[in-house]
Amino acid sequence: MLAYIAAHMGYIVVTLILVLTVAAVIFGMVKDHKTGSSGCGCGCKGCANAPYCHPYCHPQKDAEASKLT
Amino acid sequence: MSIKIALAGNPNTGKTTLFNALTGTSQYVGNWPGVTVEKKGGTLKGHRDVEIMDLPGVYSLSPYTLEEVVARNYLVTERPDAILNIIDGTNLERNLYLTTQLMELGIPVVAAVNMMDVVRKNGDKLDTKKLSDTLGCPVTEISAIKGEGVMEAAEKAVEAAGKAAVPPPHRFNGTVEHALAHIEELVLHNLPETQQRWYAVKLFERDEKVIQQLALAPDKIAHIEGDIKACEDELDDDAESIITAERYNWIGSIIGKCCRRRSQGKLTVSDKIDQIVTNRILALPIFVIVMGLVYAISMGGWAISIGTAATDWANDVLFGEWVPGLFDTILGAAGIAEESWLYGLIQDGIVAGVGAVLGFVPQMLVLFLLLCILEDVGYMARIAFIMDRIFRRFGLSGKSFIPMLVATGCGVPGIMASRTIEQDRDRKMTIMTTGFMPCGAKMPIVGLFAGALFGGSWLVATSAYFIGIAAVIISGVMLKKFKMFAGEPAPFVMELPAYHVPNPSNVLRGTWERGWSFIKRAGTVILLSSIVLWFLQGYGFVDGVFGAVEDNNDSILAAIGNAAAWIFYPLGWKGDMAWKATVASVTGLIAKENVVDTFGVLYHYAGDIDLIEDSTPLWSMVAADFSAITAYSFMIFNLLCAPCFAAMGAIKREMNNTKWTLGAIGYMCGFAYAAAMVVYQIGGLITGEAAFSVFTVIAFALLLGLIYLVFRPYRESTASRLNERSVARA
Repeated sequence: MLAYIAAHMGYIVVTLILVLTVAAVIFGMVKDHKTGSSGCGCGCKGCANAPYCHPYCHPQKDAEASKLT
Repeated sequence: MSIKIALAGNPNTGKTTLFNALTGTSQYVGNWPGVTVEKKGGTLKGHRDVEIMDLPGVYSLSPYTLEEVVARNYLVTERPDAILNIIDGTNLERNLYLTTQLMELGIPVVAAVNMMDVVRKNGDKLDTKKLSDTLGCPVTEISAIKGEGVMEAAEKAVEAAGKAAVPPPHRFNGTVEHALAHIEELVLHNLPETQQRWYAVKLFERDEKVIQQLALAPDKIAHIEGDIKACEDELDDDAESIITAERYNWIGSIIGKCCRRRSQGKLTVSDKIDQIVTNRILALPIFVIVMGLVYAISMGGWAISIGTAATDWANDVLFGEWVPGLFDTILGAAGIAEESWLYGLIQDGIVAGVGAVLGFVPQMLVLFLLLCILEDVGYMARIAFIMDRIFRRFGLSGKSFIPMLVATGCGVPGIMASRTIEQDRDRKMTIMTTGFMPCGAKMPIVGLFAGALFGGSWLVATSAYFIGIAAVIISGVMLKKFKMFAGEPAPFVMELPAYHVPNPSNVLRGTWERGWSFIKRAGTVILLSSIVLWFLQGYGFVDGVFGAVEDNNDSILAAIGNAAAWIFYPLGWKGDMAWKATVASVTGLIAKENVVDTFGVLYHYAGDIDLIEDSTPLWSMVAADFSAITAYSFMIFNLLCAPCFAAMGAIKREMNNTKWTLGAIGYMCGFAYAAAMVVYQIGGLITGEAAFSVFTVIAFALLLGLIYLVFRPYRESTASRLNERSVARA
């Protein structure tokens, strides 16, 4: 068993890095989705046009908008 | 936080620039009115106990627009400790109109006259000491863009926050004051004295929101109405106009005392430029030339096309040699064989897919940089004005073009921006058509085909932009003829900002933030898609046995693609490329960059060409599969069809109705399909690539139908023109 692991150490490490990267990406996307901080998959913080989407980031704007209509 | 200071002022007076200077944040600063549509908070630099609140720009405290509702609700209900009122020094009269209203709120006000550098440059003189004495509040001179006097203004606001509000110095006509006193005595005596005047003025103006908020009994409302009516009869005007006129009369007297304008009546540099740029005849050709230059520099094949040169380097060297070479070395050092699935996944899937998308980052950055410069200079605001003339002809206002300008960055905020359009039918139509604009994510598709099949011609990228605008206009003309969209467009009033030299920090920040969004998506959605695509196109059933396939025409993805490829047969997607183009279009629904990502994975895997040895395999392989006409048909379909899932979600949220959402998406897909079919069938017939068939007949029928819908008389507009003529004659 140990000999197998030692022989395939490169595969195991690279696969592990890949799995962790993918998990981190999925976790980040799910977190963004749950917190409502992203309407387009890239987050409001780095978005130049975030003010236009802020109703989605900040639900209180929806309430303000509904007061208007 | 112990002290709250609100930044209030007219649109496009530099509030967000001041906010950024005071708080050290980097909120988006745009050079057209209405950039800030909600309030944003930050901490004053060096004062951890002072919160600065950036409010949307408003002309008054009347609740007519969403921005006014947001600003007024904050000021009236949350009552900050002080208001820092930003006044555009080049346009005192209109800005002081808001100041007179802010002074009535019973909150200490500090007036910061911005753009003083421009005032001085124009040779105008402003006596801020006299202005301060007349207004009854501290007045300070600032230049937010240069950072001059900004901290002093904030310090004054902090100082004012600890003091009681000064009663507004302005008094209305005796009859109005009498009515206001009556209203205060009747219904407002329980409110703090400092707040009574603002409510009294609003009740006099018959402000429904205030009447609702105060929950007045019907008999009291009737009593107040009697006072207002008496006043209106005496002054022979309606209540709101009386208040407005009185305010402007007072402001006129202030300006006479405090301001000497050398430039009065003279045309400013901006006016002179606008005489050409917004000229009835020249405006459109100039717009076409400007946008043509933007796309030529960023995506064309000219000597000055720095975007293309940088993208060529990124594709050929960075993602063609260096990155694959680096991974080759790393994987080799880790003992991973080139024939292994892990090597294939990383090199043929992730590096090829993500690299294909990231290769276009330089073109995107140059494009975003040029668009940011045009915006910061003030030209984009003029485009909305120019487009208003065209849009108005088919029943949309220039206000609908603002979301479309925003959508050139990303469709999601573009669709969201449509909520500032008050009229429901216009808003729905704007949502349905905003997705036609080529967003940043669609540009790699254009870049790929322009490079692969059109020799990097700047016309291809420019045509992508104008095809988007044409689709919006044609759709507008057609849809307005249907009952659900019929009606006159809402008036569009937009203040054109003065032209100025672009601020490097605003331009670079805007460019980087847009570019970063693009890069971030490549590292998230595109990376995951690359992995899934690599698996689906690398595995399949051969002779009933599941496993890795030699030829990706035998893969699961090919099977799925082939099952749906017949749909696109009339668009000219035939042969081996049919399933690839079909799959790319479908994966593009996840994110539009996925179209290029898909080609990156499919062609890399399928090819015998080694990325490291051949510098441009993707382009050459795409060019081998597509003809010019099928490439254009593919490009048009993908530019105009349903946007990505995120944008579809935005459509769903904004429409708030499943039928309308499906209708909008269905319309976009249908329009894209028809446009791509017409291009291929008729274009192919002319070039000899497509033979005459039943689809040619359908394409001609679609074209004729489109022409009929565009030129069919529009009853409402005809009636409206007739009315205008009869009014003019009268």
